[in-house]
Amino acid sequence: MNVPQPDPDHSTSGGASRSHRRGWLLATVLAGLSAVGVGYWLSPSTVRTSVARSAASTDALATSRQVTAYRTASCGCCKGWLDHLRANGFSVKDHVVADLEAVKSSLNVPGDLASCHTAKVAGFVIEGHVPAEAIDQLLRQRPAVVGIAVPGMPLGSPGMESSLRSESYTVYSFGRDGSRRTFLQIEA
Amino acid sequence: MVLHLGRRSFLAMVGGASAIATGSALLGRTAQLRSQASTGVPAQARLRSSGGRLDLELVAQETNVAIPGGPSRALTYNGLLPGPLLEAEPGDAVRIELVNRLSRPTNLHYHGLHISPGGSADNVFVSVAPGASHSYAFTLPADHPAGTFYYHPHRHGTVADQVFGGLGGVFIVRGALDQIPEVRAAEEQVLFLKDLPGEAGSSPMGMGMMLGREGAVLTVNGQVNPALTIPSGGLLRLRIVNASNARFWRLALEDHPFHLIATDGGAIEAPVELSELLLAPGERAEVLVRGERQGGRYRLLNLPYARGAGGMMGGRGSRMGMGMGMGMGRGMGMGMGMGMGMGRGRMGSGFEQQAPVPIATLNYAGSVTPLPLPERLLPVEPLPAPVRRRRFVLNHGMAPGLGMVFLINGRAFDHGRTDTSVSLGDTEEWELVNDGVMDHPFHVHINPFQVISRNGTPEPWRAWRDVVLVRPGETVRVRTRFDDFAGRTVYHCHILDHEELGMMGTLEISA
Repeated sequence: MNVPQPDPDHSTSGGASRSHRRGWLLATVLAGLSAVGVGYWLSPSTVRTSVARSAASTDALATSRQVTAYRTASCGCCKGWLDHLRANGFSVKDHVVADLEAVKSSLNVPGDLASCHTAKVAGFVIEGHVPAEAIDQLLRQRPAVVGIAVPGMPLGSPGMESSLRSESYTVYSFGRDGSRRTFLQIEA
Repeated sequence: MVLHLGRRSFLAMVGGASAIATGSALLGRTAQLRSQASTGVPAQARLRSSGGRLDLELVAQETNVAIPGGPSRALTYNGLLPGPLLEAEPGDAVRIELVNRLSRPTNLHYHGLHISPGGSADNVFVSVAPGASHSYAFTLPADHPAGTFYYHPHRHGTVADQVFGGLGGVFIVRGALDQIPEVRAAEEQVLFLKDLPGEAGSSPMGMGMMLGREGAVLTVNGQVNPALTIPSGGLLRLRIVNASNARFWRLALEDHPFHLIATDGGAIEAPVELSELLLAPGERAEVLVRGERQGGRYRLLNLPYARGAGGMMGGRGSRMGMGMGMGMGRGMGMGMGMGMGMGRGRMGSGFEQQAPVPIATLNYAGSVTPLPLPERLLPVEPLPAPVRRRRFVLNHGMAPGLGMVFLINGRAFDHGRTDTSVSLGDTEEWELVNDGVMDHPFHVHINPFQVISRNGTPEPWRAWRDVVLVRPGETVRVRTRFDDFAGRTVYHCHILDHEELGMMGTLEISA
């Protein structure tokens, strides 16, 4: 009989369907955070700052550090991520939207890389709990990609801090054709 | 057909001549290894009590395993995955010497057994340091129900990693259920369901502790797609244990219904025919399968199940039963191929949640005079009116000073705090409310409970359980009585990552 073998390398493109669903489950989870009854999130002072920033010195650089973010109203950890960006020298335009799905679709975010919020910076798409250091690297290198993403909601990522656990996770870059590769690996 | 016990496991299986697995691959491999068996390790795959005593040693350690597509190393008891099958009878004295050869502390929980929560019985507050041992000793009550129970680590801080890493085993108590003639006539087969991480280096995207880690490799009794056999006309009794950290198993057998005869806590009153069976982590069931075909091969399938979606995107409380019907969000992959392809995500191959995955194969061999199903099983006495009602609200969130945590009634686990104090002998009704967006299977130690209603709908038949799934937006009412044993124990979400992240409370039973 036909015995399906697990895909040994589903961490990259081969596992798109698996990750596809996962991303959405997790994004959905995130969207519900406000229903918790403990509607707290970490204050900016407690957000992990990974990279010390020097002030932007030119208008062009200032423009490149303008983040336009889209999230749902109830997403607490989205706010935590935005605080992390602000603490790392980005300015943030925070848009609460009813149909985040449409935003992701219009910005070509692969479904399996999805998380709970989507943003734009300097022409790139930023999906999920991407740390500021990865965005800095993206802006320095300016690779030919649509954007970068942290799928799901790894514990320990900016906005998803937990005193109990942190997980290793991967920042992926993705192209218009759905291709993606590892952009930055963050160890727990 | 592949086999994924480690070599040591194999040798041990050979040593235990009555090993439970009956897959043809296993037998073939056994023959191949027979010459090595005489030098094999002394571990046994099946240990039965005799003379009212069950005495054994369990060595927890990391060992090599040979699982196609799976990890090269796993956490095992006595080199076995699953650990040795333990069998005892009501009234038996059980002594287990747990030897910790792991790198982190561990302990043992006798999931579902009605024994003392204190001392060296089902005491989850015991911590056995690396290199140390602990002597567990307890006596099963003389009226302990027959059933399929489950031993696994329960040391807070390491339990999820150790269960996900492979540790666990089945503890059968034999009694009245086993004496029912139709049940007794059935061939018996344990199905220990465990998903394991894929090969080193393959890190899945997105699925982390937040939702609960699932492994890519689905195993039954430590094997990938083992063979089961049934004669035409025969009865097969499956004792099924969900031994996963977070994966739900939604089972269906091609062209064969299940006839449920027991839930977590033992027999139900009469068989219930099911086309599929959903088991949350820690949950068990016993089913009879009738050999009502003339021959052929039939796949035991694990069907897709989404355990954390519909709540927000499909509206709360609008789901249908047993893993069917979810939200309609893009690409959420609900059901058998439904809901997919709505978005732009590429459809790779081989993700078990997107399509049914065969986890075992039922083969016909021979025939017997058709065996009947039992008409009646055992009484399940209704519990008296509760003396007290309590409410437990399950959710997760960002808490000041803690960050992301999982909560019961707004509090994350603190072993030094007593969350719920009850009196020995009291019957209570607990209202379990899932206010979040992910499934939470709620487990209570020491005393089983009966589900009274789900979202106000009365449970159609009585059953003893110790795990009940509470879906997002759902309120489940359960009734329990704190019988026989005073002491301190716990209740928690049996998605063990959620337990580790705080979704556990302490229960003090006072005489």
